[in-house]
Amino acid sequence: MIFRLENQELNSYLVCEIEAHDQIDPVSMQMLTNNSKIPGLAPLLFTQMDDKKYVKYNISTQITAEMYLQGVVTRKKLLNLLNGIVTGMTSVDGYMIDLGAVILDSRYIFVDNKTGETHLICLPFVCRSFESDDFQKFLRDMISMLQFDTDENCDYVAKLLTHLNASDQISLSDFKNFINILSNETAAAPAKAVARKEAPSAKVSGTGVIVGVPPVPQPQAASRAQTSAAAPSREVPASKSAPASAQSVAPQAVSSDPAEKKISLFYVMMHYSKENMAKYKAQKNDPAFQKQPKEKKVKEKKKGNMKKNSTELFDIPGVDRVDTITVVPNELADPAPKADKVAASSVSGSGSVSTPSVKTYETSQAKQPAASASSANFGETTVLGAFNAGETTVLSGGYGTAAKACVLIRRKTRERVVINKPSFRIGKERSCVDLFIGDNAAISRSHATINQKQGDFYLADTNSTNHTYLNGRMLISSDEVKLASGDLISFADDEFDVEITG
Amino acid sequence: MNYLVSALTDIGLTKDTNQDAYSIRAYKSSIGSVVFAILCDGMGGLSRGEVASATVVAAFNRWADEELTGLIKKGLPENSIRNDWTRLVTEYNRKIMTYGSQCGVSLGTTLTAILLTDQKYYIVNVGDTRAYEIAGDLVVLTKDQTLVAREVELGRLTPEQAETDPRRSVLLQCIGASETVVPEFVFGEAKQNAVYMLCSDGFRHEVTEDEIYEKLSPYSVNDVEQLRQNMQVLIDWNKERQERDNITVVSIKTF
Repeated sequence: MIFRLENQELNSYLVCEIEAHDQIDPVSMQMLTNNSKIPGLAPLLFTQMDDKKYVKYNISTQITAEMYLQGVVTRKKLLNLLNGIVTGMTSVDGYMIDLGAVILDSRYIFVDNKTGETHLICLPFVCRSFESDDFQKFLRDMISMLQFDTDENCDYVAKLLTHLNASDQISLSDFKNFINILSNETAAAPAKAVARKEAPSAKVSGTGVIVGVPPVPQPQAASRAQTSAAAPSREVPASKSAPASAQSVAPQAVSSDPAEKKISLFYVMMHYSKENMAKYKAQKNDPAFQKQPKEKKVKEKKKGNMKKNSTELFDIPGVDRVDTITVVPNELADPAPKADKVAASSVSGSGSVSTPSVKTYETSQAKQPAASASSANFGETTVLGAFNAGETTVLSGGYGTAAKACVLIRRKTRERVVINKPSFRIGKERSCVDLFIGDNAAISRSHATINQKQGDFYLADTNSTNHTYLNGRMLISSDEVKLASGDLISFADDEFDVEITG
Repeated sequence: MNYLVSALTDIGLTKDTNQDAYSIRAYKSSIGSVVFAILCDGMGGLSRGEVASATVVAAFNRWADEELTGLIKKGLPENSIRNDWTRLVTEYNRKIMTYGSQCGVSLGTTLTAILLTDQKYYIVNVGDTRAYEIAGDLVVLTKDQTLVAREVELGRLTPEQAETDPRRSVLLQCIGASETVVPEFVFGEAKQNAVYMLCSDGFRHEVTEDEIYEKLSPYSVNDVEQLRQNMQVLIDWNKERQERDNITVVSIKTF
């Protein structure tokens, strides 16, 4: 299957081209195409053009989970995403589709920019069966790559990871309940701060007091905590949702007297009903429910506990960097202009996102305006002007009439480039290329080569940032693909037609 | 994956000592050849900077000697590597600081290290020494942990201003002189026909990225001798342009 992004007027689609070796599962295909509003899944349609088959997922106004999780992630954001993912998975299960058909990759999970709704991509193919540990691993990996908001109480992260590590098999419903519990916990930080100091003595087998673990260990944890350190039990009456006494919290948190409890927007999103929405709206206007100053005290107390630590430095390690650079077309990119990071999916057999329209790559030193001339840039783009026609040479008689000739014709300017060397280099580094493309910043310094072997011409990408495509298909860096007349080559978004004569 | 490796260091124009320390090691393993390279730029008066950088290089080399085999057997799990390196950074931060207070001096060092295999690279970074990936383009893989870099990120300085700002060498953290040190980790897919380069900040103020690419692109270095010569040219240019600091560059070409 090959993935592509497509835009039609106001809509964006993730298009999956079905190849010969992909086996469609007729049952799940029916389920998915007949039910257009399965909660948590991106709606799909099946289309066919000539003899090519496609499955299109509507992802308008959505960004990838990867982008959603960039920068500092708040509790609300993360829990929202997790809830969305689990909801989607639960739906898939409910429609009797194999969970293994869902793509668990944050580049292929979509989140609505405005509503925060999550959509999974579920493929209507025969697939390998779902393994709970893959799902746990995926979540674990995703969570451990994030930068959290250290102004918040981040205990939930530890709880999440502990829950994910707790056993080999976690059921979706357990996990969903667990997330609900976490979402409904108010950040009772004073109670927690004290509990944390006492925690070492209350530790149970190294994991401390845990919320959300299957019922059996809980009573022990709570009671041990109570006997060895009085703190947790002392805290219980003080704050309804202190985690130390988890059992009583769970039902309480959800159904604590609704008339008194302030309903947050988040709560409404998680437990949507007309009554909740109405209550929320009423409370918003009711001065009795305005944000209490207590919250500020909570934060200060927390900061005092942590070692003096400049929060700007608190880079949770492991932010994955470049090399796998993902390309996101303008429509999908995070609207904030600063976030110029370009993403291009790295390649391996099954599924690479390739799109003809790409953004330029931002270096650590300067932003590059896409495809516009600017010599003031920090040395990244060389001065350019029109495509340098002097680079082309006329095929000399020395080539002989028996040998084939290969010519590239640039679509943008109709200029012709003759491949006149055994190893012909394309790029924007003047000193080492044969075809210098100076007016397109998306082209890498060393972008690609065309090699001649036994009379035939082969195209190879040389680790370019925005990739090289032959007839729409992206080249892996180790690939050398034979060229034929009529082929279309794209260096990033710069298109060239191939003419081979002789 | 095969590797060409080379490294050069130069005391520079004005310093009395070279406080940069570096090492490159190649290991043969069940997953092929694996390279571990490290560069530390030390600071501190009375030649103490040398102690700091040398100590950290030695500690990480010891880690590589003792732990790599076991980690490779487990598939080089990212979390283990991250934990190990964080532990080392924290431990040596304490040790160096303690040593410093006993001697009555302040000393510290930056750190940039890369573990390179057929499939991936694993980089740890503290301070303003850098790791570059030079392939189709030149990419700086690490983020400088300097005051001015932060100002640029916050939009309070432009990159150009940062280059000439008098505070441009002020670090936000370094091993041995910060209360806590939080290393940056950068993991990614290793490319074939690419050059991975580590350098101290003396190497990259006076030469442009274009010049670095011209000399160190994988297409410009076909053997070890050429790699060495090209690195030397870049060092010479730096000195011609009056770079005063120690200059060190470590390069690994994959092919």
